[in-house]
Amino acid sequence: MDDKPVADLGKVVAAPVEQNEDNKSGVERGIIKFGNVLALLFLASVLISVYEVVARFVFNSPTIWVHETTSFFVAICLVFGGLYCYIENKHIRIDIVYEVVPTRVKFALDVFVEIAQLTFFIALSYASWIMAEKSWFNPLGDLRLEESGSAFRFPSPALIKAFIFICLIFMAVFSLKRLISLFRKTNKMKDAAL
Amino acid sequence: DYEWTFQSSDQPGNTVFKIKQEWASLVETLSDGKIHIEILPAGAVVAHNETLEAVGSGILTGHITDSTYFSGKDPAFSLLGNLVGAWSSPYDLYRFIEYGGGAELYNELENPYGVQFIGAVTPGLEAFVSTKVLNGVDDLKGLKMRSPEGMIQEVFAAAGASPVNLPFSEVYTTLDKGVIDAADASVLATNHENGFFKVAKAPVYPGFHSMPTIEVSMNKAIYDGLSDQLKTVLSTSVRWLSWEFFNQLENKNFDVAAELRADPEITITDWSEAERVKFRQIARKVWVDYAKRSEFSQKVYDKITTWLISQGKL
Amino acid sequence: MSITISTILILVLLIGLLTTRMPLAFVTGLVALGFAYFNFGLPGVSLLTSRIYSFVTQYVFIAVPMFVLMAAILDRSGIARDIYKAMQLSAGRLRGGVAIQTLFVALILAAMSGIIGGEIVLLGMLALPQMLDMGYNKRLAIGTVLAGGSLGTMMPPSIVLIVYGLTASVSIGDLFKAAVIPTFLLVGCYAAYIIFRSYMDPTAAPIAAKSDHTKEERRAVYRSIIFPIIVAGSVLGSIYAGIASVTESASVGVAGMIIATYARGELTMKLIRESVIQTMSTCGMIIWIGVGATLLIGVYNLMGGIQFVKGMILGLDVSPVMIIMVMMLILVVLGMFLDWVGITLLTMPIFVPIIQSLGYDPVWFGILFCLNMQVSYLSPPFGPAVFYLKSVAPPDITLSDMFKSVWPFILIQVFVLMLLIYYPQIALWLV
Ligand code: NA
Ligand code: NA
Repeated sequence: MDDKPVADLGKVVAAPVEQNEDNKSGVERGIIKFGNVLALLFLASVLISVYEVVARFVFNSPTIWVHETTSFFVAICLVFGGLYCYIENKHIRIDIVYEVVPTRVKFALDVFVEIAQLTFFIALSYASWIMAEKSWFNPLGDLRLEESGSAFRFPSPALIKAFIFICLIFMAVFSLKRLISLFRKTNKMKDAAL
Repeated sequence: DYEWTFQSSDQPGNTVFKIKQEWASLVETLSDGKIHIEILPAGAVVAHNETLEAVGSGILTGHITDSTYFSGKDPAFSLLGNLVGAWSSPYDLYRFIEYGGGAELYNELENPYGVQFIGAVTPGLEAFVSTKVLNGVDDLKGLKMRSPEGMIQEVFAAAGASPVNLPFSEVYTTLDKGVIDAADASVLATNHENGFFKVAKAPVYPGFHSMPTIEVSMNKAIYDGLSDQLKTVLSTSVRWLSWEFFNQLENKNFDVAAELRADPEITITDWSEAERVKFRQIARKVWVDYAKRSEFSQKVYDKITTWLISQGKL
Repeated sequence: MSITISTILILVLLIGLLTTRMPLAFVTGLVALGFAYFNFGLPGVSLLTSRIYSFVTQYVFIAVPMFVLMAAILDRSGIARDIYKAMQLSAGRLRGGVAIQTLFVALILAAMSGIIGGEIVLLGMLALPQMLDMGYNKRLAIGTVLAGGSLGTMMPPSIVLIVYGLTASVSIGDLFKAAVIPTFLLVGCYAAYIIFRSYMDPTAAPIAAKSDHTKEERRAVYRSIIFPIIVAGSVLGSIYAGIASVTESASVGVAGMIIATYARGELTMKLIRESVIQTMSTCGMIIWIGVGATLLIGVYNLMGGIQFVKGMILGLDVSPVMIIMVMMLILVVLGMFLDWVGITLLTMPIFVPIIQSLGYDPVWFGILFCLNMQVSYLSPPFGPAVFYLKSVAPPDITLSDMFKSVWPFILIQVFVLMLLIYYPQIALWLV
């Protein structure tokens, strides 16, 4: 029986555009590290949810904070997961066509995809800025953090909405960076050809 | 001439959703076909608690929804949307909205969001869903129950119950499995439609707790551009809706109550006036606390209590 | 632009953009952005971010990371390998025995987890190389791993049934009970097909060599499968016994898995750290595909999509059972391009009221839906199961090899689906 450790599911599913472990910037590596710590929130969610079950079932005293805190932790991780997978090239894509086309077409597709993604991230960054602004300030312009409205008065909507904006901005920036490096690569190729 | 989209806070198939669709076709008739309104189910375009911004920005033309969903934006929405123990009947609520300054308060609160309040409707007093027979406030102590967000959750907590925030859709399963003993859900007819009395056989009817305000409001810019005739069509038709909403459900409530009474497995309890007063007094302490949470909350609190006193209801 | 033309245009754009190798999450999102902007201007764009917020805070998706985390810990402990060994010891020298054994291991793993992905990767690393080494027919081996590994959302607990139950307001306990017999029926049909193939074509599935395990080895292996039973028991038990709500039960399952790992002496900080990191990246993939789909659905609903689909179905002048068939067809087509989250969000608010008004049981319809999603995992061009297996399969096995392998199994799924449509009591018997 084969005893090698089972591969990292996320890492292996989507083949990356290029193995760009090396040309990752310090900021990107920092974000990955931050994500590795942030992921511990999943474990925290498990622990407090089990605590809630015990508190309710054994001690007959459910809490008002577990449900909302769990939801907050998970939401933050899920939003961040989008950025994380973008940096690590783990978003699922279908390369049936890509695999069989010539290199030049491959390059054109790469450029098209990156421009389309950049447009998407910029549009969403803009819209999420407005959303975050509305959750931090009331229509009269006074600072007030939007709450979920439950008895546990925690401003989770304001925090999550701001976090969505931050993650989308990072995605837009990294997308721009990739686009630039794609063009640099062609210039190099052209220079080499000359 | 106008193609409008209103998002509702209900799922299609519910009685209340159908009544809202009837309202849309009434508007079409009264406006000589000038206004066509599509009623969309909860979550179709944006989530139930995100419609205020969506209406303000014009993505949705309007919404017909429970005002308490916006409590997180300003606690005043909770006071306007479900002031637990304030209204003895829908007519009190309607009188306050129309003649006691309620509509003006709503507009003062919502206009800055770009939203125009047209009118309010209520399904009436909800019936409490319970697996245990409850005869009064003392029986609420230690009761594991579901309650939606907003003031009502704190009122139940103040009464000694242990409220948990579960989505409406999980009420049936959790009651069935005993995760919760009781639920603040909806009016008797709607609770019955959802099958709650198959698993929770001791309802309190008429209920003693919620009577939610469902607001009908729309994008202010679009509203301001309407002719006076069409504005009148809207306000008049919402009055019709407030009548239908309550009375159609009330008719159903009576039929359902008769059916439940005939069922030997089901015990309907009706609280004495003394117990209802006790619960209302607990609720009023929470009102005061809520009033302090924002400038507008205080304003709503003052306005409603003044009106209730003027009516000899407080 | 009329809604009919828009609908066609959306489908064309989805297919077109998918071929550019753009991630699926951004394909659906970009199409949503385009239609939102051109139909509703800048306010339309703000609808998209509002939906992202609501999607990630949705109550039912709290269960997704919990199931992923459970699978991640399972991956890293030796539990799955021991289950496979135990099955190997008990599998006789039946023709096609290793494939059948793989199927049963898949079923046990499915009873512990509520998602797919983890099981396919595990079976792809444990069972597939063994079958290929033994000289199994390549397609039979691959198909078995793909179809078996997809059972996670058919066998309770199942995230698909949980989301369906919460969307359609149906008791999740009832859905779980109703799913049991159809799951066994499906597995039975897979097994029958494997045995049939093996005996029709003896080269397709060679008989395993005699095993030479000692008694001690056997005992150790059997002992090791007690833990998975405890985990499965703690998840399903806490749901049925009413200790926890559905999403809490998933957390209880993770705790059960951690305890099982500890009892086996495998619990380390490294294992936990790696598991949560994997959960982050797997959820990033799964949830963002859902995010993309939810954006498109919001825009489509605003464009009048609900009325359009409803009108199309109700406009058919056919018998109720044909309406069910049309719905199944729509689900199969959508399953080629979207993942199950998007399909649920798009179709269930439309379909469930219709089938209820036709007098059908929504619990039964939930099982039909769940079976349909089994088809969607395997069907090209977007077949999640195939993508998971590709990641661990030997490099000489191409995507098109895999899609060619799944056809018999898709046909079996469709056959069981038809049985359920004509004999609803198969599902409703236990409810
Ligand atoms: Na499962
Ligand atoms: Na598919």
